[in-house]
Amino acid sequence: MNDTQMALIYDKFSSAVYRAAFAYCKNSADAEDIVQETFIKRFRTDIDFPDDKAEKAWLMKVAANKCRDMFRSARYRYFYNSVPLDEAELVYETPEESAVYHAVMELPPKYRIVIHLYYYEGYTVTETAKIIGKSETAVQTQLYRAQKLLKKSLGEEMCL
Amino acid sequence: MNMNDYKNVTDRIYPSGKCREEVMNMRSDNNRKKIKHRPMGKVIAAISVAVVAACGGTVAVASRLGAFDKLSDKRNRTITYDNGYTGPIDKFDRNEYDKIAPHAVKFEEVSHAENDKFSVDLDSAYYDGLEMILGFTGEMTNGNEEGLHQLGFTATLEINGEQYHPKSYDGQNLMTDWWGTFVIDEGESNSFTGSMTCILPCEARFDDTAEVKVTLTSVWSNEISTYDYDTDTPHSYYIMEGHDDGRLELSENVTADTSLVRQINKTAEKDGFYFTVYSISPAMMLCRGGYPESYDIAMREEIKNGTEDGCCHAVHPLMFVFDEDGNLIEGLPINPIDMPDGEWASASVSTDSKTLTIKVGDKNCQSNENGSIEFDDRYGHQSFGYITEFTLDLGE
Repeated sequence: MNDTQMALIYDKFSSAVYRAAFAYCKNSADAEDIVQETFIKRFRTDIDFPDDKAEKAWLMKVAANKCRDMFRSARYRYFYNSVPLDEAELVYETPEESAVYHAVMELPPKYRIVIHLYYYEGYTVTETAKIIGKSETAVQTQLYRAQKLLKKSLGEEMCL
Repeated sequence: MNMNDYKNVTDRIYPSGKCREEVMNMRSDNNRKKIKHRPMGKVIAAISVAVVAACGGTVAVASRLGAFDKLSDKRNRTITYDNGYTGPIDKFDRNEYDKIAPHAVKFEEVSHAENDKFSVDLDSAYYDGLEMILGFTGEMTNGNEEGLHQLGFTATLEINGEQYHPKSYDGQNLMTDWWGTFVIDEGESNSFTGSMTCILPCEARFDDTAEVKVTLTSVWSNEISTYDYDTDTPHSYYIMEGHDDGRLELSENVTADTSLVRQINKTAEKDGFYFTVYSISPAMMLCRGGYPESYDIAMREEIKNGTEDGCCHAVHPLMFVFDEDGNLIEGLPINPIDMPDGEWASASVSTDSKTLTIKVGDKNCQSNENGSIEFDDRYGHQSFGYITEFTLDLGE
């Protein structure tokens, strides 16, 4: 793979990978580390993907695995819910945006990534299950529990 | 209110131009070792204005004893993990204890608690009317057979019988418990010194003396954490889990020393950028920075106009603050601080500098047609495209 091809792949998918990683890590430094590790793996992997969708799904799966690795590594030494949200990256235009975003960030990481893939990326339950390496039933359960927690946090005015 | 709100916020974040350059430079094995972790705690443009309440109160007699004495060199200590990664012994603790320790007060009677898992003393505290840092020593009751270097803990906090939780932006309590850390004492095998930094919510702040009750609800280490793939859950190694019968209750009277806080309340502006310093204490500089809304608009427009899956090139300003000697004043990785008037502030480490230089760089490039802003921090050399700079005179 030459430099131009690598740059094209990076420019096409890096934002999506970063946003998924940020949803998991809640800070830009770790999210960018995930982006770096993910794309380095991609550039070293000789796979012909049938289309962009397949390639993106592969990258998201790698990123999700790397996020989980990070959380179990010694370096990531804190309780996963105690890492402060990196507010420097975030811009809210309305109080509702702030409230919903913070409520999602308050969820456990395994729920955050499912919420992100399902609602933000628009993946189906089946696709989400493949990306995070879980069964469809498990994803459905996590989605249900995450939605329940969001309702509890934000009240009935939260539409899901 | 719906998930589009989450989507809108997420749409506005993207990896920096520097990240792209690093990936392109690191694609070969030869360059692989250049990966480094960028700073997390930059002095940021917080979203709202903060006003610091004028404080008055008693002055405690300072003494440099106990936990704070041992914490003084914490920022200089590093640790190398089994995977070869070397970093600060406490990645998230940016407190400069050498500045804070002289103002911490050792309690006359140390509060002690222990159970069959952990033994802990609350022996000193720093409190300036806003920020309370509690100093602990501790050890594992059954010894440190695993050779752990760092421990985390969660705790509840009561002040004069009222329980308070950490507060974060928009007043939502993202975390129920407070948390702190222990690190192993130099040359010791089971002697730990720890601290818990509490930015007290407005309603919890006091300017005289109050009974502070801390209850450790769990103690853990991630050095030997495990990951359960069946339940998709990371498991920390728990020295003590949060059962009611295992909680460690500590109580002391803490007196505020509001004279530690120097009120500044000055703002400097240039080209729509501004930086305000509200106050400076030995523990932090309470501040707020902001930039013209046009930058946000430009970034949003770019995202809307077709770079959804591509690299963003709009200018993304970041503020960096330097002291009169040109040294970076590091931001503290804490949530925005709620102020009495309902606004929010951010914070950096403290400084004695009489003037500050605020440099605004572009996150998305290492240099531009105007040059670059370059400096060294704990992560190495940093370079950002130059946008502007201005100074703020803090006075005597």
